[in-house]
Amino acid sequence: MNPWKRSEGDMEIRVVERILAANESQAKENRELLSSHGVFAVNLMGTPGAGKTAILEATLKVLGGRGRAAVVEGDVATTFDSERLARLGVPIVQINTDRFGGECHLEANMIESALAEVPLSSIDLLFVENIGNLICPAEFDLGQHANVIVLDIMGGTDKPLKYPLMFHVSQALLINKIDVADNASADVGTVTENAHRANPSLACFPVSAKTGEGVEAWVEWLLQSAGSGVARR
Amino acid sequence: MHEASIARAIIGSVCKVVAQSGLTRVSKVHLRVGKFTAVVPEALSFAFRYAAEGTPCENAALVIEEIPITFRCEDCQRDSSIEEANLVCPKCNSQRLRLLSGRELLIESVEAE
Repeated sequence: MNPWKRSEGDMEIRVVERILAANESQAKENRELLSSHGVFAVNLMGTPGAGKTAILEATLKVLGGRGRAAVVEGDVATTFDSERLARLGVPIVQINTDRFGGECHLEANMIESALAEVPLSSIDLLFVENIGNLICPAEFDLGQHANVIVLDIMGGTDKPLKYPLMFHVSQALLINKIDVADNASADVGTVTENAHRANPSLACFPVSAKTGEGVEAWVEWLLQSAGSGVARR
Repeated sequence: MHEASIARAIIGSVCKVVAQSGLTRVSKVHLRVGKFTAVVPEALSFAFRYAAEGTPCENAALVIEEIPITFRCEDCQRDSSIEEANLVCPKCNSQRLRLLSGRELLIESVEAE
């Protein structure tokens, strides 16, 4: 059967619509709501175990009084990460995607519900910790102002070549666990080079969430990006 | 896995379109899917078949036209098409590229009665 041939009696309707139009329009509303409160939102993505939650802990500590933050924590199930972050005394809203069918990524409508519980008027930065995954979240705009990836240097230097889209749609890359890598500086160089093949303008920061090394440079980038007020994706 | 939510988004839009046209049974859905997206056509077709059950899209065929990754080099001004998303100009090795195609995720048309 020729798939291009129309069956007898069928009517062809031209649609030409973006498949994710509904998500994109909700994301736009989220971004407008956040911007109207002067909140800069970061969509934190990365591989499972790369240290996204540890990075958040380290970031909040280093940030100190320079910015008031809140966290939206996405997980398929459990509230372990929220419980960890709760000790840092910032507002946290948990999203469990098993309620939405166990999705492997967050979507804009989930953020919309979470935003209703975030004290937007009293924060400057919102961190959304996405589901650990280097594929799916790349395609779903949440309404963030910056996409940030966390990689674990021990997890291999070829991730940007295997998952180029995620790197292409992001503004910053945090290369974590440099304190435990034997060959950290060589590996950081290779990851950075590979990441720049997918996105030459990606800002790359070697960090250790554990020792705090490199975290200040990333926080400075974050504050500068937030301050420039440029809504980016 | 995210192909399931993309399949549901397609079915939602298509069902709306056919209802507006007073039609009830969809036979084909034509999509344009870029090669620089997080969508694997086979996985999407599989997810679509299951998500379509009990909707006007049940048993409809998903016809996916894959769109290659093409870009214009800002340095040598030449256009190229690449298979892998290795965003380097094959002609002059520049990385200053403007993507022309490959990010499409579009419903092109629907055939229904």
